[in-house]
Amino acid sequence: MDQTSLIGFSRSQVLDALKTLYNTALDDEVFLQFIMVTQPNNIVDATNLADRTRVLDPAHVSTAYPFLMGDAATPQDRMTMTEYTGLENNPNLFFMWVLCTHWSGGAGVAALTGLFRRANKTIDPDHLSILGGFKRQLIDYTSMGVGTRLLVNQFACHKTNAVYSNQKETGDVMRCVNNLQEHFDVFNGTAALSAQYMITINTMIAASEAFVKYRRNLQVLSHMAARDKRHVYSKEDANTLAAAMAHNALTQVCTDEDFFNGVIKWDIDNIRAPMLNGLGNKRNNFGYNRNSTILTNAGIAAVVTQNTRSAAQLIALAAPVGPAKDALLQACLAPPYFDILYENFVQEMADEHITVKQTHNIMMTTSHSAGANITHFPNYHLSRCTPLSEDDRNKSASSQDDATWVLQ
Amino acid sequence: MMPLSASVCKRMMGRQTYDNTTIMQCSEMLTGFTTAVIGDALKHPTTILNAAQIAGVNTYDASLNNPADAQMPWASDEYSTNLMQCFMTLFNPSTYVYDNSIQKNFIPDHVKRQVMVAFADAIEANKTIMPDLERALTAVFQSGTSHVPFCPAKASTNIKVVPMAAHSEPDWLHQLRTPLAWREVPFSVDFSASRILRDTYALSETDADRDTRRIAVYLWDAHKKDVLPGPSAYWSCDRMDNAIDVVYLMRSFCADELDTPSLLDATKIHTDLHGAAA
Repeated sequence: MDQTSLIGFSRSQVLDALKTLYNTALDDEVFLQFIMVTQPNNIVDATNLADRTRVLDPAHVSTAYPFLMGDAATPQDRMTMTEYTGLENNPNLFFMWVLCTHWSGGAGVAALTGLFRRANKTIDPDHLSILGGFKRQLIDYTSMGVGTRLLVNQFACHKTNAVYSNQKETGDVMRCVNNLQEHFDVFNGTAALSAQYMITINTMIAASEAFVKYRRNLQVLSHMAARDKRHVYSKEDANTLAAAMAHNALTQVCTDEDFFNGVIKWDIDNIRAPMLNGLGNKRNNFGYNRNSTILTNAGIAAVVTQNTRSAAQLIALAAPVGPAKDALLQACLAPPYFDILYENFVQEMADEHITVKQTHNIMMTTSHSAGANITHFPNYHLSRCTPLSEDDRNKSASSQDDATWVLQ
Repeated sequence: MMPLSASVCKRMMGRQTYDNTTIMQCSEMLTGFTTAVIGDALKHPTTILNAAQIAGVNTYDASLNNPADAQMPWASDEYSTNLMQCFMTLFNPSTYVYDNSIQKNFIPDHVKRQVMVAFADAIEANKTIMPDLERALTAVFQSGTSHVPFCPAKASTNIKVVPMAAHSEPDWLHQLRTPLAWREVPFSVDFSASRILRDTYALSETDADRDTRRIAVYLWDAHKKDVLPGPSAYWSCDRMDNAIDVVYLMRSFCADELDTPSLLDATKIHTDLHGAAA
């Protein structure tokens, strides 16, 4: 068997190998040094923002995503990013991520052997083969553009001075994003091909970041309360605080300039114009007005190669143009995730769902307009109105009072 | 004003299917932007246009797109509702719109009378919601297969404010537990000149640095309606990575009511004005 091949191993074997590696690496000083100590060309001056943001630059996060690939490197052998980070009960995937992209590097087998030797462990030949089979595929997440910049800015500005903390939370956000993409079946591939879904992806990045921020804030609050024994929150107080923390985190993300550029303004700058001119892809519109017929065959092949779901779909690609192929393309290229999201939105609006109310709270703070966002809330102001009084007669629409008429 | 129940809203906001020319002419009436080229503007019905002619005029309404395109455009949602088309049958000058719209929005006289009587009864009884009124309003509109998004929620009248800091610890907890009337909820709790609380913290900030930073901070104590200087305040979290250094206040729905549907309870329409319905 090839020394560094994943072919022939089951998924559980791969995960076993990863867990073994993880447990070994955690006790390895060299590896921990790699994780926790500043990397060359990474941070030069911790007080300099530009240098701090470089934490996310080439060393740990952005340049390469690891994909499980066999030597044949056929699409069927490749584990997608969603599968890779979206599974429950996996080892700490962020460590795995770092490990695959930079720890093992070009000398993967040697590094792995050294790691196990230092731990006085014998590496299972199968595990060595599996772990050596990790290879890089250059997919530049930085060219996802605004989303990544949002992450960079947020983490550089609002986190503590622990580099590890940045990396850990970046990993958490990325995992959240990939889980969301998988859950809603939003396209996940190279930057160029994902460009049509950028609004949705950027929204998911923002939501994930808010969630991580919210979780961290709750941790801080509970830690401070327990450490100093200062507050004993009642259940009601705790609920109020938790709701306020969620509101804070979401609002903070929504007031970010990158959110504005990547979600709100993106639509205006990048979507509308080409769509209206008839030059662009209608899938641009949040995937809502999807229309596969204007895609070229080359584009189809590229997307399917990147986002393969089964070998059967690849086979179907070879079929001539026709209804079957169209159906395949709809499944592969333009999942109707937006239809589903929109239906959920309409339903949750009618149900007065908590998400709708949170959104309204945020919009009242961030939109700088109280009028535009209450048009779909017919009862919104009723509870804040007082009954009509005698004085209101003069202010009514049928009033003969000149000043009232002018205003109305 | 009457609170609208979800069933009434669904009827009002229900969507019917209209042809794109009707939708375009409705849009023209409300926005003032015509989709017709010069010289054709007065033609009836509107000349079939392509999207390129709309582009650059009004991007939102331009998403109506080419009428030949079967894709559902966003803007048509708003012009396809029963409420909007009901309005159009009365006020749109185009007979084309009227002819198309009235087929789905004809309101018989007895239904109109029913609504007027129900309104009069409600005013007479001085109740904002009555079963007869809801039934009458529901009968005005046809039911549609789908509806545009709406939320029948009512805004909270009292809101709990999570204070960033307070005069003392007991004060902080007291404020956390004591709701404010919605009118009293401030727009901003900190009004330092540089909005320093939202600035980037130095990674190496010490306790002394933190105290210096807070010298320039003034907070608005909404409960006491007074200014609170930063240095002398009690801060719930006093570390650099504190969680309450940035506070965005809730303005619409308070924490207690986030996951509770509003009750459409009847309240008074007027302050017992005698003969108001006459």
